[in-house]
Amino acid sequence: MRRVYLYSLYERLWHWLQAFCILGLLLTGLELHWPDVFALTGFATAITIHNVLGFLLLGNAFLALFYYWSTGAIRQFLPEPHDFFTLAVRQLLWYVHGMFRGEPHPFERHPQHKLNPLQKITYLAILNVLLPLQVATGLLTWAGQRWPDALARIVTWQRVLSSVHSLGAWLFAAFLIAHVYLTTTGPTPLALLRAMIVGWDEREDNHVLAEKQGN
Amino acid sequence: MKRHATRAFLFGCLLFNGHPLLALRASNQVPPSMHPAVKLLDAQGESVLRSGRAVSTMRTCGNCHDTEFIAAHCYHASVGSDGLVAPGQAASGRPWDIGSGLFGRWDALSYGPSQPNLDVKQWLVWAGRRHVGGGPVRSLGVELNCFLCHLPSPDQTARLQELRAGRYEWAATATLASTGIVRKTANGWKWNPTAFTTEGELTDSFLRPRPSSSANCGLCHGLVHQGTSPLVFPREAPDWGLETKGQIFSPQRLKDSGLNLANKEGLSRPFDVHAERLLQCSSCHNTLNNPAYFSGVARNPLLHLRFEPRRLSPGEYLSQPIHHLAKGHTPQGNVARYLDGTMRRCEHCHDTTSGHDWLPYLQRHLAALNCESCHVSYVYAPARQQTDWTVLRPDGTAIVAWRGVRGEPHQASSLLTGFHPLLLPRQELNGTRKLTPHNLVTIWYWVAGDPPAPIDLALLQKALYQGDYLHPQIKSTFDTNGDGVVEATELRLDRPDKMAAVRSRLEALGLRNPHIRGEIQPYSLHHGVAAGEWAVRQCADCHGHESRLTMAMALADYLPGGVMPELIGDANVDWNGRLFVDPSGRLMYQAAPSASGLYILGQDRWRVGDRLGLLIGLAVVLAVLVHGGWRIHVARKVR
Repeated sequence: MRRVYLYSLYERLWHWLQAFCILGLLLTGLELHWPDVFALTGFATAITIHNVLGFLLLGNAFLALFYYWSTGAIRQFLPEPHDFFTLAVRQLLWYVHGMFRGEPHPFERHPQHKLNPLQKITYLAILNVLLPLQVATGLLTWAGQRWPDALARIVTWQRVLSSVHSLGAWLFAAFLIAHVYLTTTGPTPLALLRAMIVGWDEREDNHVLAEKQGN
Repeated sequence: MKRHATRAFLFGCLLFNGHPLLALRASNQVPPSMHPAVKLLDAQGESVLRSGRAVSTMRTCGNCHDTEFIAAHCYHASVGSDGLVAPGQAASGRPWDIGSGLFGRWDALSYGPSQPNLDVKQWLVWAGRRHVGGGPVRSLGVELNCFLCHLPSPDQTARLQELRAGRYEWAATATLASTGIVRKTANGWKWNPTAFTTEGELTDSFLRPRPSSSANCGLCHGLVHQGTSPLVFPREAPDWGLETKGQIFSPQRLKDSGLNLANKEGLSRPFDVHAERLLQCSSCHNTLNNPAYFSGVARNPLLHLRFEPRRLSPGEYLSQPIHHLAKGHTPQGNVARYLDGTMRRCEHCHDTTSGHDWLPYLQRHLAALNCESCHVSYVYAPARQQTDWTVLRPDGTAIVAWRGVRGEPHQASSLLTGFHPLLLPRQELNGTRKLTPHNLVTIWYWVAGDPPAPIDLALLQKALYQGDYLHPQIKSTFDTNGDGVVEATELRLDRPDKMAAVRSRLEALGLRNPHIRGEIQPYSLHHGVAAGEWAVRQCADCHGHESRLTMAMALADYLPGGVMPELIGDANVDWNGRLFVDPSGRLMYQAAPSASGLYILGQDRWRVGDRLGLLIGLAVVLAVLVHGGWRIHVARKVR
């Protein structure tokens, strides 16, 4: 077995704070959306928690952007044009076919390349489209309610803002389910989760892997 | 000089009205008047004691006050007669209305005399109880009756008797009947010489006019109750504010009243917190040029000025006090629309930022809701729900259904349950919409002719009855269970054959094209205000599936003639909800504030988006289950 230090302390903190915020936002959002069905904290408390978590998420996202930008680690989120499509198809085929036959993961993670092509395209969409959309609609909603006179136009668009925000929340929830499930597709079901907690990724040596595959 | 001294006295009285006399009000004593002695004059300017003629308010009060100016600037006198229009041009949309006030706009609730061929004498008999004189009846000799509003105990009954008897010039004199100044004899009204000084002035103990109190307003507008005696409903006359809005202006706590209220023991709030805090009607509905209120012209405040020095002197004000009273902007207050919004609103006296710390997004809530939405959230009194003039009871009255009471409202044994008013988006003067509590009253009546006009009730009575009994044709049609008796539940036009029977009877009496018209009149509620602890404080009351904002209100127990009513044309509310008949046959209205641009968190949602999102979520869960299940299956097989 060999150990690779995959996630730095900051990356792990960022990830788990993000996870905490998104989960909290989804739960309080559910209460705000259906207060009769999901009476968790009370309507007014749910609003307060939702707002606090929203700003926490926003702050966390900005700090992460600064971190990834300044360290250059942002590159690993950007899909490489070269063979991207082929690699993505290979990754997809592994999920639907290869992993059931015990084939090795087509992509080996290391500190400079943590994401497979499908992850890259997913995160690109989430971090560049869905998250900003949620932040923008959430912020505008918050501001429109807080300063209704100054931002009267926003108030008139509240229905659209809320509708987009709700749909975005559904997409986030769907992503969360898929994301949590895909963490179980490592060497062991909890290996990837463990790596995101402790930072170290444990993997079998190449020769052991080759033996297992009968080479 | 004397005139100036008089005005100074009067102004002192005006100023004192606000402060030291509060204690007297609280103990239900009539405050002493600072008004100087009055010399009662007749229309010729002679002392009534000498002439024996009727008193003339215009001459008597006109000695110091510009009564002609007052009468010309008093919409309580003109009641819309100064703005008449051609039939069909009125804002109500009714083809027969010729105005927007008590004079010119037909009153469907009490079935007043119908326009456009309005007979003033007939109108006065009907409206006299709620009209202060002057205006359209000045030509009959009915002067603006200052005594009605400026005496502690005006005799309304005696006044009405004179009006109904056609002795118009004596109406003001009769208003003094309870003061002992004048008494009615077999030969007419006689002045009491002991009430006058040798100079012909009234002695102190007899007549001291004062600023009007809430009790004076209550004579026409509704139930005003002061003092410690338990509040009960009056039996002798319909109470306008109570009937239409369930409005009671009293400082008394509900549990101390004589009303048979449900769960009364726990109702420790007063009927109206403003009455409890010793405000009078005139505290908000002030005379428009009262210098004490000058800085607070609500509709057009001069925000850039810290002080307005261009106000009237006491003398100028007392000489020409504008008797247009400050008014709000309600769907029912159609008279003098040009004065809408001249009244102070809640926020002009109250600091809305204090006491609302618990309420998130205060400004947003205040922008969407009028204060009454939360502070008049429940009405602890009955109010009219439905008035059906399409058939008449044997005594010639309409069939009336009430909300907020089990049984007849004026019977002591009836249980008063009260009701939740309906929150409707009101069109504010600045073009915005604000939710405001309303009672909706639905009215049906027959109209006939071209253009149509309400039919004469006497004709309807003739069509339905022969003497004291139902006409045989009507009786046989209405007795649906065939027991030989037309019960209360059968005396209604709830079947086509009943409708046809009445119509044919009306046609037989010469009416052309008789048909039923139904209308809905909203009454916004601004009294019966509760303090904070009794106001709406639960988010779930509005933000949830059972939101008060989208509740349905019953408008009628049945549809007379199957006619769906329409909103009256001059109501300043958004009418974009759903009017429907529920499975039990009741007519309901469900408000839809979202159609007025309001988005209510927890209540409004984009259902297509939710379904799409749920589908995506379920698809992902399904994919996870299939994929994960297959992985487990393969892993077991390999083992």
